[in-house]
Amino acid sequence: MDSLQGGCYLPGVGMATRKFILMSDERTLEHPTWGGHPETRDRVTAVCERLRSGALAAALIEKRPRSASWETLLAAHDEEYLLRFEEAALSGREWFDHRDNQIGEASYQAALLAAGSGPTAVDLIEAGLAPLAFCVVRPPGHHAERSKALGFCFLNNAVIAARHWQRAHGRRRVLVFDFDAHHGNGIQHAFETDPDVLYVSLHEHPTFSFPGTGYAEETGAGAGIGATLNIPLQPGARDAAALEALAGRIDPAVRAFRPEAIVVAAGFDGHLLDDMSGLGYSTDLFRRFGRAVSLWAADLTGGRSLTLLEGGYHLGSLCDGVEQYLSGLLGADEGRQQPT
Amino acid sequence: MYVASSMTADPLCLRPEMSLLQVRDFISGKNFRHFPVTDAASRLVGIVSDRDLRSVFPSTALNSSVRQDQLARLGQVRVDTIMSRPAITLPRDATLDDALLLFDRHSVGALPVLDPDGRLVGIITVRDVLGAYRRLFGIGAAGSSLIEVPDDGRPNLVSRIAGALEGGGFACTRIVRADGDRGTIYARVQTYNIHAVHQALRAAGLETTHRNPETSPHDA
Repeated sequence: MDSLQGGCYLPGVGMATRKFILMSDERTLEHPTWGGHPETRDRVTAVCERLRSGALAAALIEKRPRSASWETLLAAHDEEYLLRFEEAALSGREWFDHRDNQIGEASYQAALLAAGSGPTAVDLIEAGLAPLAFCVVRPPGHHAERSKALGFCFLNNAVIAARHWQRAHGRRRVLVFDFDAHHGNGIQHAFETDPDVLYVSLHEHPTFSFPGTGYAEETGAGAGIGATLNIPLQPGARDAAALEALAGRIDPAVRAFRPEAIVVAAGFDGHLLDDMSGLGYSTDLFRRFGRAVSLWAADLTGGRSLTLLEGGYHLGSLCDGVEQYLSGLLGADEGRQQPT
Repeated sequence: MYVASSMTADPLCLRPEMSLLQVRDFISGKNFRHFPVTDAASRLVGIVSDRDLRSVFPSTALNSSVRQDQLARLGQVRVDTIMSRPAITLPRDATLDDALLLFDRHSVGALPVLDPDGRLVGIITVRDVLGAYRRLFGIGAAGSSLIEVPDDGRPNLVSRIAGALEGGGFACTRIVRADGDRGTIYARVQTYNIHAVHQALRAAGLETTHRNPETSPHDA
């Protein structure tokens, strides 16, 4: 595990030749929230501006997503649910399934673009454009259940991306690594009986934190027993607890699973300054997460990984976290060659 | 909150005159651990657990002929000679709390539930009670967060918390005042928008205990 521990990495140094696909679409900004709702359009705007003007600007290959096809949506959601969501948005409803989930007329189309980002990026990765992709999407997805919107999420972007990778490109064994501060109930439930998808979630303990799922004893069901790894952290947990879990539990599980592709549900709300969780992560921890993903990709998947934005509501720490995560993702090889 | 909604109604019953071999055959393949013993009028006369039965049956490690002799003798032994009696029971209108307190006080795994005439109407196990409280408190169900408010002894604190949450449009499934736990009131709210919950409580003059002590809800 030395490889996950080492490396002080300076963004922009030594990775001029490494590029990554940045997937975003300004039409997702039309998904409205109001009244102090944490999931704002400013999140996406701020992250994109930071990446375009910051140390990683030279590494970007900017692409726009296609809307998710009906077929890819059905891999994660029931038809009745999709129709109900579309109707709610177009009919002028202000929320869907729960008051948390504010919507407007453009929300369905925005969600289709968010859900289509993963499959679009996967196709570009497989076509050889670049092995890494980061999708700055909203609305987020990992709380969305098969037939229920939850926690600001409508369509489960990570589930749709992982299924597309399996079905369109034959990458059967997929790792979904979720480091959002909140458990990704929708991802877990989609894959809990599937031994070909390893779902790993590191999150604040469900006794305290939304959505109240993701206890350590939830390890999968049926044929999928053992392919779900939930690691709840105590409120107030800092980098040390997360790194201990990363090195001691997650890394061995991922390497034993031997994925052919990696989907990351990347939430940055575990940061100390983000009041949507009680975790106390530093910005640097997100670089460590990126570095871990990069090493798994280098060793196990031919370099392929796809990252989808989930939570992260404090704009400053969100932008810093994304930048550091991508620095780790792009810089792991250099860090391995030049440990510090 | 009543045991009647969580118990197994009309459970499998034994008759007192059944031999232990008959009982073994009767319960074989059935996934229950506790068997009430009732008379012809369905009145409870005792209860037998699978553990009681295992303790009287000969070990499989015994010599085969010895084991066969012992088994043959069990064909002559009535189940009412090994059952527990009087059984600890609950009335049909008992609450889950009644069951919880009895389980806490006695080393039993199941409680027969009786009607006013002493006839058996159901049986409730420790597992049933755990499941009932799990559902009651929404443990493991997706969609909620826990809010902590310091209990400084102010009057009407619980009602003020409830009012602030309801006034803010947040569904609250339970409020627990934990005596002895450093004076904390816990509220389970059905929302992800914790930021807005903190705001609503602050507007009502209530401070929340943010779980990360170094982070103020005002920061984000």
